[in-house]
Amino acid sequence: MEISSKDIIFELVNTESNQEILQERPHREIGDLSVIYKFLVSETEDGIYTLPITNDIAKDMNISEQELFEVAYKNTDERLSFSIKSMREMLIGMMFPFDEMPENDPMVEMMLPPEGDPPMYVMTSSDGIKGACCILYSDKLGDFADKVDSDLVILPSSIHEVIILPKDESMEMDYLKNMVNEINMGVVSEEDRLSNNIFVFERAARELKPVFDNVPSISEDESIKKSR
Amino acid sequence: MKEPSVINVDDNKVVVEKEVNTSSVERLSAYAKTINDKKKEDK
Repeated sequence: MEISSKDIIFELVNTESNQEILQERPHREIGDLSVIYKFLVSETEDGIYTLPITNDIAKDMNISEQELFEVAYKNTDERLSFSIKSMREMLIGMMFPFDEMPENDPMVEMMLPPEGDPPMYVMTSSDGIKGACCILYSDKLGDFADKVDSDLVILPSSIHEVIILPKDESMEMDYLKNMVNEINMGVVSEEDRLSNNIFVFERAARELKPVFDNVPSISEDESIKKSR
Repeated sequence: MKEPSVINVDDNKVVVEKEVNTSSVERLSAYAKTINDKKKEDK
């Protein structure tokens, strides 16, 4: 099978719950998360088709994990087209993918959060599949932090997307962490869970950090930092 | 690997996976409701 190196992309998974997969795949651990690699084979209306890059395949390709990371870092943003939308806009797009949202429908309004209060955003890929790796792009988070003029609280809602809240001094971090934990346990399937931790993106430092000290830090790849 | 190149993957090692995102509305609604309720409670 012939594939282009332009098809190499990455995704983020939880390290602890993916030990078996990680043994067979080139990967790097970032905090409690791991980056794994795959070829994006095709995209269709009902999903994407990928070919996981295993240790065997990487060996045949004669490519190191560092090279995989650098190639995937460039490709993933181009191929998956990350964007940040308000929670309301995102839910409307999911609930009415083909039609206009019906106006003045109390049932629909009941299911949607009000626009902007409290401000909540969702960052993911254009098709919403395996888009949580967007948090590896500190330039994108930084641009958004500038736009909302605030540090950002990142809730890892799943491997598909993250929720972003402009940081507000009144926010109770323990409450938010418990909320992520409870929603992970109650609503998110095991294979879609990303993390039970929450993170803060510091606007001034352009750094993503776990809120609680017992979680390893997320540091940006040196080669990516230098390329800026 | 600086330039795009064509890679030959051994057909015996090719396992193509389909990836979908099935429960976003339920998951995001749960977050939206909890965050919204907390905001109201705090007021």
